[in-house]
Amino acid sequence: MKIELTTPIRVHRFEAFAEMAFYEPRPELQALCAAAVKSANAIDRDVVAQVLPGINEAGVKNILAWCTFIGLCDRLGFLSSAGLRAASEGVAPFLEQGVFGFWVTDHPLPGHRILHVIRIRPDMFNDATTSPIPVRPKPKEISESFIETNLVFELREFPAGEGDPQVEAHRRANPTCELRWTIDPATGTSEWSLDGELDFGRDRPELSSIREMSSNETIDGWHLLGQWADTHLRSVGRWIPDKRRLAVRVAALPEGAIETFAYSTQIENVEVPNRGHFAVAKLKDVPLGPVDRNDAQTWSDQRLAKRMVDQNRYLTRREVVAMFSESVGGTPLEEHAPVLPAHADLCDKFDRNRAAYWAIAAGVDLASTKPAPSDLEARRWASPSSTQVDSSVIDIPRQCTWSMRELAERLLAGVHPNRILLCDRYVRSEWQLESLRVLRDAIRMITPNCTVQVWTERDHDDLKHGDRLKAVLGQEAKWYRDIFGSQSSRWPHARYLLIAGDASPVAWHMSDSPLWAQPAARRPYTISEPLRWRDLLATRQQVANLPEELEAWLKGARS
Amino acid sequence: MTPMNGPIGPVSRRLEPPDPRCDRSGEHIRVCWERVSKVSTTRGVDGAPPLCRAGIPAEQEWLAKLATKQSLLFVFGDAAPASALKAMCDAADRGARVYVLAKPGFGEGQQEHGLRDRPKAKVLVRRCAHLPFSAALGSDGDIASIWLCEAALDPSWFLSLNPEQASGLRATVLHWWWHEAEDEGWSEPGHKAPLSFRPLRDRAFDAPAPRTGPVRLVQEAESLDPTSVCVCPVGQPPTNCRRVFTPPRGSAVHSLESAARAGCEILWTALGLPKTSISEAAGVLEWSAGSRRVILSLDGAQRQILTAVLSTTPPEWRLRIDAKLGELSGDILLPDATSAIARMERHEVPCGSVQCEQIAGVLTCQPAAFPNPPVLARSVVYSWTALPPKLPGKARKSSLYDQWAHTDQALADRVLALLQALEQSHNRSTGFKERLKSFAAQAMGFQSGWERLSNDLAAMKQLVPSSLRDSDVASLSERFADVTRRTEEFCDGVDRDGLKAEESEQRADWESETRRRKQDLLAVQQQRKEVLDRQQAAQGELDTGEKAAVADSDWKAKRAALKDEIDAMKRTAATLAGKAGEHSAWLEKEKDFRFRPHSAPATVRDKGRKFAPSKPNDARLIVPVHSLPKVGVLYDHDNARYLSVKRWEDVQTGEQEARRLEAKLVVD
Repeated sequence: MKIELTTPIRVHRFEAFAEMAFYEPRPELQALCAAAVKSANAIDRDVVAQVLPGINEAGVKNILAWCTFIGLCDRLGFLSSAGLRAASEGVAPFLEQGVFGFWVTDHPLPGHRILHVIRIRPDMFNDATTSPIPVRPKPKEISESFIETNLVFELREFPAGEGDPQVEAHRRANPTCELRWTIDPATGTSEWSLDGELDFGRDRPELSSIREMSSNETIDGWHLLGQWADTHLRSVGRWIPDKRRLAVRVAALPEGAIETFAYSTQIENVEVPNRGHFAVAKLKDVPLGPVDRNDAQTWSDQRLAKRMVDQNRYLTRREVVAMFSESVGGTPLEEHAPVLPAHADLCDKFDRNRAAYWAIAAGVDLASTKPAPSDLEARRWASPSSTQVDSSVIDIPRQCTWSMRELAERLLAGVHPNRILLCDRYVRSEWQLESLRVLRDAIRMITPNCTVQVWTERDHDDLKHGDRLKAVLGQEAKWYRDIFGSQSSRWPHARYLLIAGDASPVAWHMSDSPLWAQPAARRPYTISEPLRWRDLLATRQQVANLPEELEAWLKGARS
Repeated sequence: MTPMNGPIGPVSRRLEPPDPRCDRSGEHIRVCWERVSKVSTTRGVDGAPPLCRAGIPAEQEWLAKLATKQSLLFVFGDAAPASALKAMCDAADRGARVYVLAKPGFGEGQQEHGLRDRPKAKVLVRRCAHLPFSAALGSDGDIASIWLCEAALDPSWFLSLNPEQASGLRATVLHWWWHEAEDEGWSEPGHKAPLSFRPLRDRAFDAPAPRTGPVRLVQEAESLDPTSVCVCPVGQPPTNCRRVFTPPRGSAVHSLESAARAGCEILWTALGLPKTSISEAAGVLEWSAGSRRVILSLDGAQRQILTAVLSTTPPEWRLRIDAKLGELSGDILLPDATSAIARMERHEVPCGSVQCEQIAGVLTCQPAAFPNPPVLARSVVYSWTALPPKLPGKARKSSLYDQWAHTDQALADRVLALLQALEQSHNRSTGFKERLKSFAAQAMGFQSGWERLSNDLAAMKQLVPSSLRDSDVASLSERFADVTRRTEEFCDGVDRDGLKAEESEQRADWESETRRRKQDLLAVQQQRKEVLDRQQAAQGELDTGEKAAVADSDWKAKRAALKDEIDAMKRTAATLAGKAGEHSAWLEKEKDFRFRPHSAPATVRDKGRKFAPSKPNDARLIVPVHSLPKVGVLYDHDNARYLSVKRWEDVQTGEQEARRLEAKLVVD
C-alpha cells in the first residue's frame, strides 16, 4: 500500500542583502567540537585547553565567543546542531554578509525552503528596485542546495533594520516545480522530493535541473487513508479502521483486484491536514475485503472460477478443494467462511463455460477412482484440518508441517525395503533436488541400505540434469521418454512411490509430488525440518492397477 | 485330310468328350471349402439376455435402464449401432452428461449425428484410433453393454455385462479415454455449431489399463484349453477345438487341413461375433485394440447362451477333406484361391498354339502334352491352334532372283551391243560405198547377210531367260553364241574389204602425185636457170655502164632501171628456188607409198568408241543352275532356303518346287 501525492509548487526567486553561513571543512573546529562531544556536548575552557594546550585565558574566551557567534554552541557552550555536525562531518559554518540570490519554495510541506543560494556582486544591487520579501525562509536552518552538491548553508538573518526585508524580485518567475510526496502506511515511512528546474538567467532563461533529493516527513498514513475513504472513496467502499482495509462490493471491483485484494485509484485536489493541498493523490494497493458474507461467497466463487479456468486441464474434486483452500486461505475472505459449492452446483455454475464445465465434471465422472459422495458435497471454509493417516491413505493438507522424516516413516511403515522408486515427472529444480536429497536421507535413516531410484523427465534445458540427479541418488536416473515412450500423453500424471523389499511390494499413488515440500523457515533443510506442503494425498495402490512399467519394476523386470 | 483352299493361316482344333481323357468326375480334392448353404440362417437365432440379437426389445429395455443415468459413456467403434446413437442423442436432449469415445471422424461431416442441432446438449467427445467395439455404460460403471460384430460390420449381438464386467469395461474405456485419445471436442451451449476438436487437455490422474478381472487389456491373446467351440473371424484359429467357426479363406486352407484331419469340425457362418472361445468351464471374447487385446471373460449365463447359438447355427461353409469332384455340389473355395467358384460341368482348356513343321501338318497335329485342367472341371474340352511353318522374320529374297535378273540384263545388253555393232558395220559399209569405187564392187551380197543377222538379233532381244524353262535356257545360250560369232564375222568382213579398197585408191593417188611433182620440179629448175642468166646479163650491163657512166648523160636512169631489173630477177629466182625445194621435199618424204586409212576399223573390238558396249570376254551367255520357282517366292535365311506360299492351292506345286530347289515350304 502506498500513497503518492503530487502537486506543482511555486518557487520564488529574489535577491537580497543577507547574512549567510556556508558550511566548509574546518578540521580545527571539528577537533574542538569532537572534544566537546566527549565532554557532555559542551565547549568550555577545559575542552579548548585540551585541543589547544597552552592557550591563555584570553584566547579561550575568544574561541568560545567565536564558536558562539558562528553558532557551534550557545552562550553556555552547549553544542548546537551545527556543532554536532562539525564534530561528525568536519564542516563548520563560515559567516558571510552580502547580496545573495535565493530560490525559495512556497508550500506547506517543504515550507519556505531555500533550494539554492548564490552570491551577487553588490554593485549589481545598487540600482535595484526593491519590494517586500515575498516569502521569508526560516532562519538558522541548515539547508543543502538542490542544485550544487556539497553546498550546505544556513540563513542567519536579513539585516534589514526595521520592517520587512527588501528584496529585488526577479522579473521572470521561476518555472513551477513538482512536489512529490510518497507515504507508505504499512512501514510508516514518508518522504518528499522536488522535480523541476531553477532559472539562473538574468535576461534570458538559464535552467538547471534540481538534484534528486528527498526529505522525510512524519505522518500517519492509515489515518490519512481513513480520512480520504470517508470522503473521496465513499463510493468505493467503507473503511474499516481496525482491519485497515476498505470493505467493498466485489461486483464493483476490477478483475485484478479480486485476486490481489488491493485497489488502486487516483483522486484529485486532496488536502492533507497541515501539509497543504495536493493536485493528485495516487492510492496504490489499498487493502480490500468483502463487505459481508454474501459478498465473501461471491468473491470466493470468482477466485475459484478463475483458478479453475486458468488451469485449462481436467481437475479432480480434491484439486478443486485445494484450489478453494488456496483462494480463501490467508485472505480477507477467510473470516467470512465462504462455502465450496457441491460438485453438482459447481458444474451448473459453469454451464456456459463448457471448457471449465467438462474440466470439473469429467474429473469426477470419469475418475478412475470415484470420489466418495461426501467429497462431492458442499463444504464451508474452516480452520486447517488435521492430517489424516491410516495404513492405506496419507492425507497431508496444505497447513501440515510434517518433516520429510515423518512422511517417510508413514510411507515405509511395516515394510523393510531394499529398493525404492520415485516416479515423478518433474525432479529438476534446485529445491526439488534438495527435497529429493532430504527424502533420500529420511528413507536411509529408516532403512540404511535401501537404494533410491528415480524415473523422471529429462530437463533438456539443463545439460547437467542427469549428473545432478546422480549426485543425489548415487546412480543414474531413468527418463520418462525411455520408460514410457515418446508420447507424453501416456506418461503417468500422478507420482508413484514404489517400495520393493522382502515383504509384499507397496505402491503409493500420490496426488502431488512430495518434492514440492519446502522448509517452513529459513533454516538448514534437514529430515527433521518442519515443511510447508501442498495438498498431497497418498493412497496405496494395488499392483495390478499400476501402469505396466511400474508393475514390471516391482516384479524386478526393470531396474 | 480336308481339301483346303484360300489363304493359308492358323487352324483351330479341339479334343472333346467322349474322349476318355476329357472326363474328371472321379478326381479327388485334397482339401477345400464347400458352400453347403446358399443363405445364412443365423438370423433366426435371437438369443436371450444377456446375449441377444441387436435390435430386439431386450436391447431397448436395457437402453431405457441406461437412460436413467445422469452421466453416460458411449464407445463407438467402426460400426456405431443406430440404437446407441439414438440413446446418445436422447440422453443429450434430456440434459444428461454424455461422454463419447469414438473413432477419428466422429462428430464431423456424415458422422455428426445431429449433435450440432442440440445446443443444450452436454456432450464431450474424445477420439481414439483403436476402438474395437461399440459399448454404452453408465459413467460410474455399474451397468454396461457391448455390441458384438465381426470386424467393421454392423453390430449383430447385444451383450449386457454383469457388474464386475461393467466395472472392468469402465476401467478399460477410461484408459482409452485418458491415455489413448487423440483429440477432444464438445458442444457449445446456446448456438448450433459443429463440434470443434482440439488437442487434449491434461488429465488429472492416471487410468492404468486393467490387466486382471473379467475385462482386461493385455498384450497377448488368451487361449482356453481344451476349447470346445471357437469363433475366429480374423487371424489363425486354434487347432485344439472340437468345432471352429472361421471364415473361408483360400490362403488359410492348408493350415486348417491338419486340424480337420484330426477331427475338428471347421465351419463358417456369419455369426456376427468377435473372436470367441468357449470351453466347458469358461468362455472369452477377444478384440484387437492397437497393440493390445481386450479380453472379456464370459459369465455362466453368457457362455450358456453363446454355446447354444454356436451349436445350433447351421453352417454356411464347411471344410471338406478328400472329397470326390462328383460329390461336391456347392461353391468351392480352393487352397490359395481368393474367391469361391462353382463346380464346372464342362470346361474348355485352351492349350495355346502348336507350331507345325509342315504346312500340311496343321490339319493333324496335337499338343505334345495337354495342360492340367481346373480342379473343379468335371469334363474338359481341350482346344488349340495349329500354326503352319512361317517364313523367318529376317529371311531375304533368294539371290537366285538376282542371278536371273543379271542373266536377263546380260542377254539384253549383249544383244543390244551386237545390234549396235551390226548397225555400225552397216553405216561403215554405206560410207565405203560412197567413198570407194572399188569397194562397191566387193559389197555385193552384204545387204542380205546384214538383214539375216538383224532379224536373228531382234528375235533374241524379245527373250527373257529367267522366264524360260531349263531346256530353253540351254538352247538360248547356244543360239546366242552363234549369232555373236556371225555378227563379229560380218563386221570384220566389212572392215577388211573397206580397208583394201581404200589402200588401193590411196596408192593410185600417190603414184599420180609423185609424177606430177617430178614434172613440176624440172620445169621450175629450168625457169630459175633462165632467170639467173638474165640477172647475170643485167649485172654485166650495169657494171659496164658504170664505167662509162660519165660519158652517158642518161646513165642514171639506165642504172636505176638495171638495178630494178636485177632485183626483180633475184626475187623471181628466190621464188622458184622455194618451189623447187617444196617439190623436192615432198618427193623425198613420200618416196615410198604409205597407206593411211581414213578411220580406224569400226569393229566390235573397238573399245575406244564411246557408247559402244564392250564385248564380254566369254561370248557364251552364263545362266544360273536352277530356274526360279513356279509358285511362291524363294527366300534365303541362315544358310537355308525357304519357299513361301500364301494359298492352299499352291501347296502341292510348292512342295515339288521346294524339293527341286532344296527349300522348306513355308507361309509368308
